[in-house]
Amino acid sequence: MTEAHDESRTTRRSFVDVVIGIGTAITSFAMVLPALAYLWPVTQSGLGKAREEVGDAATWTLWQARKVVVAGKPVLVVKTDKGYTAMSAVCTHLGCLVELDPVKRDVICPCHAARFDLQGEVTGGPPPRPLPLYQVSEVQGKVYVST
Amino acid sequence: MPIAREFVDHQVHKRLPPHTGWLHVFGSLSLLAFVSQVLTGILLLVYYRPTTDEAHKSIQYITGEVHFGWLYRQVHAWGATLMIVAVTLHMARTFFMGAYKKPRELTWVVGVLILLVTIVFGFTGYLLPWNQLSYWATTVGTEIAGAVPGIGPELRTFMLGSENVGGETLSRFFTVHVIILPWALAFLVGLHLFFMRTQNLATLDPVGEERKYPPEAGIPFWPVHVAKESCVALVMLGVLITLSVTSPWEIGEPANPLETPEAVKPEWYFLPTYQLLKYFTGSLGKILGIAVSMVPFLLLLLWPFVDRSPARHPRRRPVATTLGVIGIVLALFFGVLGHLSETHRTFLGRTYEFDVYGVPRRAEPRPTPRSNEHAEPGHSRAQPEDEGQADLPDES
Amino acid sequence: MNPYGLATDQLAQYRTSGHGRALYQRQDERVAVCTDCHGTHNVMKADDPASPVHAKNVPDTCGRCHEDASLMGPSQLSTRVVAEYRRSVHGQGLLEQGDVGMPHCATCHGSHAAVPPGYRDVGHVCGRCHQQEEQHFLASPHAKFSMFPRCVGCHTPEGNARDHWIRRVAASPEVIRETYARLLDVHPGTRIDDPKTQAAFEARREPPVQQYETICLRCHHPRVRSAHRAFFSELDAQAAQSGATLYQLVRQAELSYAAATERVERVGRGVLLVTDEALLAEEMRTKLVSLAPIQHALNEEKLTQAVEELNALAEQVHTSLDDKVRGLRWRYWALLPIWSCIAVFVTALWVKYKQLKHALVAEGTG
Repeated sequence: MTEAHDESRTTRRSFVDVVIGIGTAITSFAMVLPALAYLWPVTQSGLGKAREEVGDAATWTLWQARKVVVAGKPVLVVKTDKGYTAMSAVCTHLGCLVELDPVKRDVICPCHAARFDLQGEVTGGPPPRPLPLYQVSEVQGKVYVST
Repeated sequence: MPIAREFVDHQVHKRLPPHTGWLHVFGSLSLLAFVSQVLTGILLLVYYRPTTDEAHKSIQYITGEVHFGWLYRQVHAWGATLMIVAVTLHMARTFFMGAYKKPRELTWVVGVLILLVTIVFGFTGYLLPWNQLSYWATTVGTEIAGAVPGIGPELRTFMLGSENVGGETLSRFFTVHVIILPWALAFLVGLHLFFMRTQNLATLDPVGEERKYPPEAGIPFWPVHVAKESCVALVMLGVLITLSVTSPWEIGEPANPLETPEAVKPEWYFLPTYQLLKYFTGSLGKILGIAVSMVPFLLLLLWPFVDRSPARHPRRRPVATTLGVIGIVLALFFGVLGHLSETHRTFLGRTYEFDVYGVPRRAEPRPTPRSNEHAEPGHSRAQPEDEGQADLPDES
Repeated sequence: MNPYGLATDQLAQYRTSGHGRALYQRQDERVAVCTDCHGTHNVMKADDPASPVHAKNVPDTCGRCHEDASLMGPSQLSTRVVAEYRRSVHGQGLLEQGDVGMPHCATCHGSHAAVPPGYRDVGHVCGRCHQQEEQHFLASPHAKFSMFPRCVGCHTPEGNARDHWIRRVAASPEVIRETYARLLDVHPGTRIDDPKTQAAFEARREPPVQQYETICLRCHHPRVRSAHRAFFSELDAQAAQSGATLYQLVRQAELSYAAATERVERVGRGVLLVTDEALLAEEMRTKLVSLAPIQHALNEEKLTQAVEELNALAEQVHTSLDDKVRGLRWRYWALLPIWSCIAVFVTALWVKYKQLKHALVAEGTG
């Protein structure tokens, strides 16, 4: 009878030990795995990366414009017959976002009819300053814009 | 190495006094909090950028893009509060049980230094996210340094690295927070643990009359006390994670030197001193204020040499116990006053406006501002996600 | 002058102006001549800030005579015009904010001629800068009526063509956002499709919103005495109705913009990244500003379409934010398993603690 009693005590103890063992394992994993995930680089959007992918070169028709955010600022990218051109999309007058005028092939602001040429220079309307330009490059079929 | 093995063995299985109970877990809790801060701090360091241009953005990045970044940022921010709470509770326990008395005076002194270092940790770390709260809380917090007699303005400029809080301040606070203080604290904690281990925990017997307890009555550190401490540690971890999810710290607006938010206050652990200093005005008054607010810390530091009575049990040292309780009550009182000052609150249906000194006056009910960043200085919580939009009451 | 590339038609233009005609046709010398505006020995270039014909100094230069009652008395010209101009949106922009792109006296009245070259009269000059508005106006039902007072008919407080106090009409997006923020301070959690919200929103607008219909009713009202009314009096009801509809559309768009932008800002302050939504909010802003010119067409369909585009953007913003916010929910759910595990683990440790204490620590203690 003492033996049975001893055995049952041992089983009870071992069960608690097993639970503690599993608990320790789970806690350890729960602490290490997220840390490893944290350290895994977040590609495509590293901090301070002022280079943004705009799209595929193949699907971009001539005289088509796209807007993208680079380092927190909207940028207008246009495919012209002389290559890509990118400029700040924020009109220097009162901050509206500019668009490409496909007919006249220059850049127009819908708010107060400001006009800019494809180098960002003011050709008409109230803006006091030209649009700052961004660097565009095509690498392996993808178009990138950077400051 | 057999000597090392023996040492470790002895340390691990050391017997603690029989009365060691649940009140004795705060020391290891503080240590655990410190370790947690170091580990999460290292992780944050991987992505944090300590310049005025990038600091705020890096916090955005960590919170929004890095996998589990939000978790580590919140655990680190809440861990700071937890560490201060743990250290304070540990200190209170030690105080009320007279464990600082001979021969443990030096352990206590090192402990007070640890508390101070922890507070400076909190102060320097607070600036690093570089949001409006950081910037202005630091401005308010360092303002008092300028009132120190003689060297005030120079002291302040030295701390800030320039006339006002700026890129230089960020750089300095970062250096202090990330390399100087961790080593300082590691050294102090090491010293503290060394003393504590050599002398073992104090009993509640008076000085000079410590009874020796039979070894088998003592509580083995491992596995008994550690089992108890592990329970507390796990609960602490759970609390940290829960707070990270339910009450996250905001990313906030980037620091703007040109725009002061309303009623900026320092973090909660500074509130008692901050509020106390408000009552001392004028150039002479400010000096007096600084002196008065330093008294509690000096008292704490030198307490084992001030309190010479041999009794350890709290009931046998009514003076010390009473003083301790008064100290806590005063701290709470000024802390609460500081929290209520410059706010608009409703109690039991009546609205009160608290002025800068914490004095309440009846006021018209004013609606609660939406943005917690402006209304609740200190910890600014992110808004719960918008659901259940209420109907507009009748405008008539 | 031609080797210097300078224009030489100033005198010819001057002769067509009010000053020129008085001088040359009526021999009335109580007018301004070249030296009155340009100075004598101290002639400076117009872009020199000290020049009396520099943009910022033009109102003072003209005001030297046109604010002087003794000089204006004989010609019975108002002496209030310069003061009115100073309070106007253009005057404030030029004189207080230093925006030299703003028109001054000579911009609308012509530097030397009566009106700038190519314009029929002063009332038509507005379109020189407000090109979008003019474009849309020309498509409106009012454009074909030559006696319609054009811009000043609506954009002055009483429709007085001689009123120089042209006031800001459209609220800037920033003002709209601020108004909405103030509204939320008082009534957090309002729904923007609730008509009471709209009323509260308008009540808080600084400067106060002018009701469309009151302007339409300047002409389209039975009690208005005008010989021209015979031509359009049967359109009164339709005009008032149209005005009310256009007004509603614009107010709705403003609220939609304000609510979406406020939400983006608030969520971005918390724990989420909102770069894409912020870009959408910028596009909404552009759309909102472009609503002002579109209104001039007085075409409900056109305006509705523009407002719908804005609302579509707002919809995108809200959906995107909803998704992100919902993604946060799983963190709350994760707390359940975490605390369950902790509870189990802590219980096991507690039991173990008790067992160990019993086994290793002598009785009669603790």
